[in-house]
Amino acid sequence: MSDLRQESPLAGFRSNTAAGEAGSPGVILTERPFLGYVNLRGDAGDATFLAAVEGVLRVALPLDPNTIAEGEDVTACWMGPDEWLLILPPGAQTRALAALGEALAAHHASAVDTTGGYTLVNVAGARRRELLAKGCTLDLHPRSFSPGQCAQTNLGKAGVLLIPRGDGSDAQSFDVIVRRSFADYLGLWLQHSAREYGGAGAAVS
Amino acid sequence: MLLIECPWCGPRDESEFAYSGEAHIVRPLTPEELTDEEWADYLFCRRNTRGDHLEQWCHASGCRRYFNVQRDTVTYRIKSVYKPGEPPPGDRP
Ligand SMILES: [Zn+2]
Repeated sequence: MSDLRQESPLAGFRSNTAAGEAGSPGVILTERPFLGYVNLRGDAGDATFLAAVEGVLRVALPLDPNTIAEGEDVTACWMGPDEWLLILPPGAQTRALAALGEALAAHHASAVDTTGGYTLVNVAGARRRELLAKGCTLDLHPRSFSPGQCAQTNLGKAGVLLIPRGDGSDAQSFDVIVRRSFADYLGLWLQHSAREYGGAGAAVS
Repeated sequence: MLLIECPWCGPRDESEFAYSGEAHIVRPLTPEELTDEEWADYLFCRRNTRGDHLEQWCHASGCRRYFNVQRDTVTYRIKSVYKPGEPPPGDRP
């Protein structure tokens, strides 16, 4: 038997946590590896498509641009007028894909497994907005970007999907979803940019 | 830096967009029946407008959709944006 183990794109950064930190960091970076990702495309104007997807996910797809809908074990993110990204717990993409394939068999639609193509870094801490603002042109103020929304944009030189997280209008943290080929770059960018806010306290854990 | 209004995402920084040339150029349905001059006209010849120009942009770092923009090529002012398939604003020259 081969001894296979999963390794996230930021596995190298995770081990940095062991370096030990003191005080309360202004920025806390936490990778959430191995989540399931499904790219879903279909006609948002077709009620039968929307109903079929809702039957599987048990949550309606978000139709307003740059918003999310949260189900029990899925976050559906608006990516375009006919495109969504489904974020699922690790491993859950297999069952979701099978169910979507069955439910959408008669539709002009697609559900593609993009798990392994992305990883997610959660950015928390009191200075979370200042950190992101260093490399992002979006207005991150709660009045224009708060939980329930999402946005594809650039962070540094990497394309990312940003999701404000938490209750109420003031996001307690931001999920940053990045392609795995950019994860190393973005991990270094985040750590370097976070240095002034938390010293060694900022590590991808 | 321009602030460009994506018809879906709203105003975003110019750095998120890619310019994609003049809008409303229709690919000939039967290219094999065209003369070289007609094919070259389709491929290469553009209006080079001074003033209001109808052009395509792609929200490359955002929703990755193409849309149309009416932009003054003298002032760079963007006067309107509209989705593919929608008619251009006003009378087209
Ligand atoms: Zn857009």
